[in-house]
Amino acid sequence: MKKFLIIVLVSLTVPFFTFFSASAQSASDILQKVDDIINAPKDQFINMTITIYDKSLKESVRTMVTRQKGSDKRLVKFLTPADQKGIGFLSLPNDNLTVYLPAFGKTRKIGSSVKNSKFAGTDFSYEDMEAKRYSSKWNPKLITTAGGYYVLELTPKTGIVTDYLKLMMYVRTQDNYPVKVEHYDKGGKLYKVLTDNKITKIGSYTIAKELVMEDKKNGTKTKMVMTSIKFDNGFTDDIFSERELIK
Amino acid sequence: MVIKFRAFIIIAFTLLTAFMAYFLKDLKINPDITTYLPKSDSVVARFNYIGRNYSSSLMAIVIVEAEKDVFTKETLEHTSELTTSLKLVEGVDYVTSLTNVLDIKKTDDGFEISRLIEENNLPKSSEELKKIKEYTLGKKLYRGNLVSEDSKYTVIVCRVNQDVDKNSVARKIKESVLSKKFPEKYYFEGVPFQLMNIMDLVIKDLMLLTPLIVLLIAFTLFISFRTFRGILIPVLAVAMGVIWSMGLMSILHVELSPISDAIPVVLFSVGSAYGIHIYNRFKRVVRDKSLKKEQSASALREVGLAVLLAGLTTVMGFLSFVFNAYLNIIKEFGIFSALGVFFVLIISITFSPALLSYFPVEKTHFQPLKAGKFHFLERFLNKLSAFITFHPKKILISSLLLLLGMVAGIPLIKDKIDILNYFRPETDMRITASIMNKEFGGSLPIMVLVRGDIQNPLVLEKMKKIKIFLEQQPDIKNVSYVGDFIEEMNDCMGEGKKIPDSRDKVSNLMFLIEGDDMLRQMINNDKTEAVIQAYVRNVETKRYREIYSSLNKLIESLSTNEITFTQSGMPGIYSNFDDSLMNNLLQSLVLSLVLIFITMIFLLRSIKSAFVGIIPLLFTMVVIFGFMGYAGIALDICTILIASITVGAGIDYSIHFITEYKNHIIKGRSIKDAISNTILISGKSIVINIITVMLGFLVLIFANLLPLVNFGILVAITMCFSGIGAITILPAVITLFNLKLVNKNKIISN
Repeated sequence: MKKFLIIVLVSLTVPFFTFFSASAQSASDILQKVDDIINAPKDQFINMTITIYDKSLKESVRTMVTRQKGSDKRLVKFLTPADQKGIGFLSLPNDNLTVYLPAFGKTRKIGSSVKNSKFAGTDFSYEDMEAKRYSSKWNPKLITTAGGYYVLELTPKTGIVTDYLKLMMYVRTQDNYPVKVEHYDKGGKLYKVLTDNKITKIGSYTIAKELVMEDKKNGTKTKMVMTSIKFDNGFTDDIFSERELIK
Repeated sequence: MVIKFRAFIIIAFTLLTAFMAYFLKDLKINPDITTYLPKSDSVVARFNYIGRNYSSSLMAIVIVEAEKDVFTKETLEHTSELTTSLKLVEGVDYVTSLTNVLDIKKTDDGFEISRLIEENNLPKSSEELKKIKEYTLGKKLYRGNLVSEDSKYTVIVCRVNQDVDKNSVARKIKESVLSKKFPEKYYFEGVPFQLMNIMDLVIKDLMLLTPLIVLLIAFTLFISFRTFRGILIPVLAVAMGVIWSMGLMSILHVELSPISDAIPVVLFSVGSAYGIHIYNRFKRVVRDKSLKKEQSASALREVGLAVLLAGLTTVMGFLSFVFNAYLNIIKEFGIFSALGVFFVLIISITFSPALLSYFPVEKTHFQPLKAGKFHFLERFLNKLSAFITFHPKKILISSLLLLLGMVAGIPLIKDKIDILNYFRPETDMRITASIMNKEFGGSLPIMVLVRGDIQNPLVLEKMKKIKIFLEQQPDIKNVSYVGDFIEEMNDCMGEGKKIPDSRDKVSNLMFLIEGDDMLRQMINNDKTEAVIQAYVRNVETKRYREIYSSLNKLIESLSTNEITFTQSGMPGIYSNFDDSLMNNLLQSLVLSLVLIFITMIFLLRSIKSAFVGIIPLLFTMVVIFGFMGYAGIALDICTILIASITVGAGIDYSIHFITEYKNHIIKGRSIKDAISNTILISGKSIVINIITVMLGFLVLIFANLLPLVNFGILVAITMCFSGIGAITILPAVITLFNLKLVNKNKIISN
């Protein structure tokens, strides 16, 4: 009888547990998959055009080349405008950010506390440009699944320093690719919106060829367009070094 | 005519008043000082341009006063908490404070662009606090800029978005700060807070001054006439005129300023006279119930012209300073006061008599020259007329002596152009400005706009020269320009604290801090334009002029085809303002005198009458300017109007006197008789009017804007002297020179 009761109880409670864990699992699963799909290439080599629009939609354009390995090593070099040619950034794990200024021929480390500063005058902050997996910083919660999208609410994990109260991420159900991320300020107001456009499949990888960051507070906008993309180039760790940065 | 169509007039005017009153609800207040300055002045235009593009007019500054030192765990925590919460206030673009300002530090392996104090890692131990205090005060960028030299004060700078209601954002910032109930004291500085304060002052003025003047006028009228209609007629006419004038402001989208909020006071003080004259005449002429209509018409005929003339000259007085006033708010004040007076005038000679003609005949009537029952005022006037007709020389000689004494006072007149000093010392604006002056070196911006290739080291070197020049001036503090950052970073790159030697280096360094909030206040996106900003202490006008002209000399010598430097800011604006003030005074004085002289010739139909009429006016003018010199009342945006008002409103007394006098001469009376009768009849109206107008303008003593206070005092004195002049000097001149002022034929025909 006792055994029977236990069986009954277990059979009754298991579905509940399964239900709850399935839902939680599902949100982190989705975010895990998002991380996996956007960081799928072993490495990437991207040429990019950045257009910055001010309030009156006046444009300023710059081009850069980016090398990335995994999700946490990135080397960026500016090609134009002429007076910024050769300026480079090296982003390594543990908030290690180095800049190279060609006019001085010197590298310098940049402190981690400028995360909320604008990156090179764009609407992307250094935090937005970080090469980091979402799941390492944010706790996801599935808000809804509708219209072919998962809507995830991401709140910062304990100990994470961020400029945002939360992110709302819209993920395509078909392939778990994020199409839009709303960034909310600490007062809960919509601050910035990142939109991934021209999502394309190149080989076995999916990538957005155009990223638009809109600053809803200031009415400014930055568009990053990938002009050429190469995956799996076999980059070694040596490429992500100061030696390469000053080349 | 008026009496014939009296019903129609009453209905039409009532409907029109209701129509205008409907628009009063849309009347807005414009508290933005920057819009008071004339856009046509290039220094002002540049000032507004810089304010718009480099955010200087959008800075709402919260001054934090610590009990002893801001570098304590608690004050830094509070400052950090406020920095975070103010960022979230709707309409605030960004916030800069000790706990989030960009700092460029030299480190072992190079340099670090970081925050001066990390909001997530605030210093706690006394050792940490001491270290950060020494570091902060050791940097020129922060000392006297973000933190006062004695570290008792620090500022939290909020940049308000351009296209939001700055007044409401300022209010939210203030509420947000005060709601925390932190033990530190907080003060609020900058244009957005000024807007908020001025808005409050205008509302306060309107709520206090308008009811006060109505009560005061009603009380004076009650004392003088002791009848209901004696109060109703003048008050109603002005109230309608005020509604029309302000309703029209609303329809034309002209907003109220701290000066035009005094329009009701001015209209009640000046305009009630028209109703008084009309009512007084009706009281005297309309005696017979059966002939009420005819007598009403004749009363209006007798006094109508004098009232019309007196009103028109006042309108001209107000209009005469409109054409060349420096501040827009003065123009608006002039135009709408003139219109208001005109409306009151029209109402007084149409609506008021129409309404009066419906009232039953009054029981008590004015009984001229009947001894025994004389009112105190009448007894006094009777004695006065006797003295004047027998001793005209004595009157004139003593007036001349007074005149000479006052002439000596005129050169002592000073001018006051510092807008901040227009507010009472106890207002938030003055208190905050005095802290800014004392602890942060000044609150008045001075700036140099630079156009050219800002990344060119030669341009930066020139900018540095200007910065050094400004720093050398004892009254100028907090000079900031983009070169400070560049030098700091150049030092961190190991090349010394100086402007880099190549354009590429400048450009590389600029790239690193591009888009930073502080940089946006100093340079445009294209790096083709920059500003050097500093703050000036409140000083004498002469010193503003010196600063303005010496800086102009320097920037002219530095400008080339490729690079231009132009100056703006308060020293320049105040210098131009000062020039315009004097020109304005002279021009409006001459203009009003000429206009009024011509009007008088035209309306009195005699050059002699016009000239005689102007004598008390000239006397008053000298007395009032002499008084200003002796009493230390400065020439400012409001007191500058005195000359025109003296001419415009002061002439009214002479007009009333001469018109009445001529009536008596025409009736065949001798000069002495005519003078005695005129002093008794017009004299009473004039004396009541002097008291009403004086008390009316003295209400302005309670105004929040100090120039309005002085203006009130001066107009009160002006009206008093021009009134006294009209019933003393004027009859003395007439008696002494046997002036009949009327064509002989007219006397015979009568």
